Parts: sequence; C-alpha cells; structure tokens
Amino acid sequence: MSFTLFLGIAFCGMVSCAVLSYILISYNSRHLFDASKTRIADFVSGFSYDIERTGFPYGTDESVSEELYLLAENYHGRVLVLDNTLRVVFDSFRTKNDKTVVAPELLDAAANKTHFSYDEDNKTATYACLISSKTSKDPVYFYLRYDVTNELNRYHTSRRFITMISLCLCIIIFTVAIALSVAFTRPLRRINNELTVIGNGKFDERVQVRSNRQVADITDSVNRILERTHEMEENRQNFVSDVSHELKTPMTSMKILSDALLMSGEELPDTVREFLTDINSEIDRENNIISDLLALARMDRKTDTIHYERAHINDTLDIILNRVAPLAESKSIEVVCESYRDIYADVDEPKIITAITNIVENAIKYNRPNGSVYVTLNANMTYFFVTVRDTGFGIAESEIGHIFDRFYRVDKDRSRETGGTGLGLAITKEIINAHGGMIKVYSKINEGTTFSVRLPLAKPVKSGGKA
Amino acid sequence: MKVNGYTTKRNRVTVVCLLFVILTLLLSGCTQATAPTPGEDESYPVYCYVLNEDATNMYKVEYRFQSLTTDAKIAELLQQLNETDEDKDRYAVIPKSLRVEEWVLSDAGELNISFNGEYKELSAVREAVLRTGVVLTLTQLMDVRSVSFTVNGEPLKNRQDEPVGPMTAAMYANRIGEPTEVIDVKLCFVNGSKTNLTTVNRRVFPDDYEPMEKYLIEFLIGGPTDEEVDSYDKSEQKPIAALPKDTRILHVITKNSICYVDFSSEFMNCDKSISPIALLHSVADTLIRNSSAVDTVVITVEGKTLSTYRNIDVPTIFRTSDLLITE
Repeated sequence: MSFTLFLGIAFCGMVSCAVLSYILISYNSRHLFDASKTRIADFVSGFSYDIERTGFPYGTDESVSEELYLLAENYHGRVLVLDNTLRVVFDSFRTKNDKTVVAPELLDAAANKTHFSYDEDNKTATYACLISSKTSKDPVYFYLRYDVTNELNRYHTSRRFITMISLCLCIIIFTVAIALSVAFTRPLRRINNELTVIGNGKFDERVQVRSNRQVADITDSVNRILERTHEMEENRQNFVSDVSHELKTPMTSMKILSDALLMSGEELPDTVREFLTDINSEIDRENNIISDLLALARMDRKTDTIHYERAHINDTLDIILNRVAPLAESKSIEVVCESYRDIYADVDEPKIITAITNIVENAIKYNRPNGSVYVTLNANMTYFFVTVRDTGFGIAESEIGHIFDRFYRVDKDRSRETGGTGLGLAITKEIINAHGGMIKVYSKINEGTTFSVRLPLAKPVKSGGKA
Repeated sequence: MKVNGYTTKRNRVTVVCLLFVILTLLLSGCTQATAPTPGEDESYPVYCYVLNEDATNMYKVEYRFQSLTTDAKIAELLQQLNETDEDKDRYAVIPKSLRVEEWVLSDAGELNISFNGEYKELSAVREAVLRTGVVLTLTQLMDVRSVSFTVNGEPLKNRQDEPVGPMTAAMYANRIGEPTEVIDVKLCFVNGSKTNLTTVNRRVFPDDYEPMEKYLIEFLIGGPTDEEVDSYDKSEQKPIAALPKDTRILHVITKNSICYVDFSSEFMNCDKSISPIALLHSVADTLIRNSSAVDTVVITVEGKTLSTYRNIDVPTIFRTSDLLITE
C-alpha cells in the first residue's frame, strides 16, 4: 500500500510538473518573437507613411533607403522591398536588385498580408508583409530576414531554467511522496504489529496507536471488537470451567463406586468384572480430560496466577526426564539430554514441568519403536532455550498450525491408542505464553519434529503479575 | 560555396558538364548550392517549377527528358508546366485558363512564347509567378538563352507600359538567399614578395544569405587554389594565403559606400614576415575592386579601430585612390 501511495503521489506530481513546464515552454516559444515582431510592425507602419510621402520606390528621396539600410544594420539582417510584381526595388545586400523574386515568404505575404517564420539552424527569423498605401493602388512588399541569436539564446536559457526547476520539483515531489506514504502507512503498520501480538494469544491487550483521528477511529473499532470477543471468550471459559466442575463431582462418585465394586471381594461374573474394569478405565480417562480442561480454564481465566520463583532449570529438566523415563522404557525410546550450562530462572516450576513434560511425552509417544528423543538446554543473556527433537513420524505442514488447538489430534487413530486428551499442547502453549515465552515447531514428515521453547530468565516486568 | 575553374572555351562545355556531374556526385553531402547546369546530358535531370495548392510556394520537381531535339524538349517542358497533379500537391505554373498559342526559338537562342488574351486577367503576383516559373524552367536548356512573351500578338509590357523584352534566368529567383548567377571576381592576395599584391581572377557562384562583401573576405581567408598558385612562374608573384585561417568575420556592413569590416582577434596572428600594410590592402583592394557599392573600407578588430598592427603604423581608412595595385 505504501508503494502504491508513493507511486500515486509521485506520478500525479510529476505529470503535473511536466504539464506545467510544457505549458510554460510552449508559451515562451509562442511569444518568443513577439517583441521583435511588434517593433518591425511599428517600423512598417511608419514606413508606409514614408512611401506615401516620398512616392518610394519611384521618388528620388534618399532618406527612405537610408532608413532601410539602418534597419538592416540594427537587425543584423537583410531588408528587401519589392513592387507589386515582386520585382526587387531595394535590397540591403544589393545582389537581388531589379530581380523578380518569387520566394515562398513573399507569396505567403501576398496571400495572407503577413508572413513570419524562423530558422532554428541559421538562427534567423523572416518577417514579410504587404504594405498598401492610399496614394498608389499598387501595394509594396516588405521583407526582413534578421538575426535572432539573442532571442533563441534567451529562449534556450529559459527552457533550460524551466527544465531544471521542474527537475528539482520532481525530486522534491519524489521525496515528499516517500515521506507522505511512510507517514500515512506507519500507524497502519503499527496497528498490524500490535494486532499480530494480540493474535498470538495476548487477548487482554488493546491496540494503542492513535496518530490521527482516522487511525484513532480504526483503533477504537478494533478495540471494541476485541472487547466483545474477549467477553465471549470469558463466557465460554466460564462455561467450560463450570461444566467441568459439575462433571467432576459425579465422576468422582462413579469412580469410588466402581472401585468399591471391584475391590469388594465378592465373586462377580466374568463379564461383569470385565465391563466394570472397562468402565473404571473410561472413568479415569474422562477424569483426565476434565482435569486438563479445568487446568486450561484456570489458565484462560488468569485465576491461576504464575508464582515466580528462582529455579535451577537443569534440576527441573532432570525431574521431567525421570518422570518420563518409565514411559520411554516401555516404548524402548532413548532419551538423551544435553545441558550446556547451569541455568537459574524465575519461573513457576510446577507449571513449567507440566509444559515441558507434555512436549517430551509427545516426543516419546509419537516416536518410532527404538527411536530417540534429544533434549537440549541452553541460554543467552535474557532467555533460556529448551529444544525437544524426536525421530518420529513428523507432522504435515498443513497441520502444524493446528497442533496447539484444543482437542486437535494429528493422527486420530494413533492418538486414541496412545491415550491422550488432545489438550496437552494447548496447556503447554498457555503456560509458556503466560511466562512471556515462545514456542515454535519445525517438522519434516518421516524424519521427526523439533519443538523449541524460549523462556525469559527473569520475571517479565510488564506483564509479570498479570500474565 | 563552390568554385569552378575559369574557362570560356565553348568546345569544352561537354567536359565541364561531365565534371559537374562527377563533382555533384562527390559533393552530394555538401549543402552548398551548385551552379545551374544545363540539362543537356541524358543522365542529368532538369527541374520543372510547380506550385503548391494555395500558390504560396513555388518549388522544383525533377524531370527527365523523353526526346533528344531542343524543340521537342521545349514542348515537353511546356507540357510539364501545364500539368497539375493534385495528389502530389503539384499545381501548374501556367494557369488552366491561359493557353500557349505558339512558340518560336530564334537562332540567337531567344524563345518567344505567345499567350492568349487571358494573360491580362492574371493578378500581378500570379503573373510574376508565371514569368519566373517559365523562365527558370526553360532557360535550363542550353539552346534557350532568354525567353520573351507575346500576348495577343503584341510583346509583353510591364505596368509602366514599357516592353519587358527578353528575360534571362539571372533576372529571376525562386528563393531569397539562393545564388542566381555566376560572378567573376578579382581577388587581391598578398604575393610571394610579402609586401605586394597579386590579383587572381576567379569565377564564383556564391549563396545570397550574406552580403557579397562577406563572401569576398571569406575567399581571401580561404587562400588561393593550387591552380591559381601554379599559374604564376615567379615565386614573388605567386599568391599566398596571408590571412590566418581561423580569423572570423564578426561584422560586414556597407552604408554610404563605406564598407565596415570587423575581424576577430585572430586577425592579428598573421605571419610576421608579411607586411601589415599589404595584408590590410589585400582586404580593402578586394572589396573596392569587386563591389560597385564600396569606395571606402574601414577595418576594425573586435570593434576597435586599427591604428597600429604589430607596432607598425597602418592606415585605418582605405579609399579607391589608395589602391596598392592598379591594372
């Protein structure tokens, strides 16, 4: 958009500049010889009186030809006077005296009273006209070819000047176009940046850009929409949370009752025992889902604040690896951990354990038999990084965008087999976001998936208490 | 401007014609005008003068003869002068209403053309156009030296009721600035003695865009041709190019019979062995001897009157009586 705006302004500016300079130059060229033409016309009207007075060319008065020589000298040119049969009666060069000259300039003057033309190459202009006098019925032709070097030089100078000015104007317009397009689009770009941040999960933040009235209006509208969606989201979370709570109580009762039945020691028919065991495990699964949902709902509603405490992340990672060791063993997956340094960070340790455990568990669950999982831990001045790389099946590119969605499963069949709730990664993402961190996934089908988590070493100043 | 060697021998005309053809071919890139050449040679075209639609321009179109005899050629050209082709914006010089009743070519080369009474109805300008077109077209033939008109059996008379008589090409011009006639000039070059002048005769055909005086000085700056140098045996008499080649003529004006010549400063850079007086006389003598309108010459350099040239006192005004050489 910025480029289109720039093009628009630059194009309009330059076109109007070109048109303006064209008009100026053509005006200049049209009126270039006006002054000299007027002067010659003045001379000619005086000259026509002289013809009447002296009867030139038939009279004997020398003053008229004297005057014509003077004119030729003043104009650095040549003066011809011809009678009505186009015979030369006066030539300041004398070479054409008494000759009949049928030059186009004179024929044009005969047809149209006056003729004017100029020759750019020889820098001369030609003025010819028909002079009618009252005393004689025969008109006389007057011809003057004169030097217009000065006029042409002046014209070229002014043309150069106009061209230069319009070039300068073009450069200025160019610069202004760049500045304007940047100024117009900057607030929009900032709005976009803020919306991207909000879209990444910080739904409680609001767009703050208010550079001018229009932008402020847009900001307000966007904020109203955000407010509305935020309310709807809260309602949904409340609903999920309430339903989960309501479901959990009867589930607990059902679990106690089925456990009691199984452990009562009474002899039960085989079918009944088998069905009871199934019911028991289904209740366990349902309970897991409800617990995850509750955890998510708590994260969503921010009722569960992050309790920052200094933790030795290497130890935290050990706890996680120990926790997943039995699972890895059962699937004969090798888990390799590499820590590059001792890292201490302000985190809510139990939550981080949950988050990273979810990732590592996934890496183990969706791995090939005898595969491996590499976990690395590193840090720079402000962040620490945990990467979890597996040798599993990988995730298709079209699905990568959805893996943090609730209840989303990449491979439905296998998920059921491995027994997940479909909420693990959603919870992980919530926790990492709440810490002000970031999680990214790279995957290649049949080669494996890499999750990389970036978390700040220190408690974030801005959203520390809230997020 | 082009110069051809001085010759008057009639029997060498064909050779000269051929030379012209070759020269024209060689100098085809040159914009300068060449002398009018009679259309006797089959390969060399003549020009027929025609008008544009509103009769504001008379121009020439190339024409190649079909026949060989002079009479047939005259008939062809008269036919061409009557021809109109509107698609090519070519209109006849002889108007439709006007009829050529007969024409006679005398032994002296005077072509008489008889027109009907319509001739008197032509406007002054149209009549001038007709005369110019017919004379310039027909006098290209070697055998036609002049053209005269008869109207209703009487010789043509002008407005003052004087007979017009035979008309030659030199009396007419189609363009101001175009050369009309060949002129013989006498150029006074400084000679080998470096204190005196040698007169060289030259036949020239100069343009008419500048006064004749300017062309004369340009010839002097250009120097003598090899042929002109070789025509003298003694080295003291051989003409030399005395004026520096890069001299520019800033101004040439003739008024009241005084020719004012203004040179650029390069004029002062001539060969030190040449006498300044001879140098200045070379200019003044050439101007006075060739132009009837000039009897006094005043030479200036960059607008300043010259009283000394290289610390030698020199005259500033040259009159007819002061000529360095007289014939």
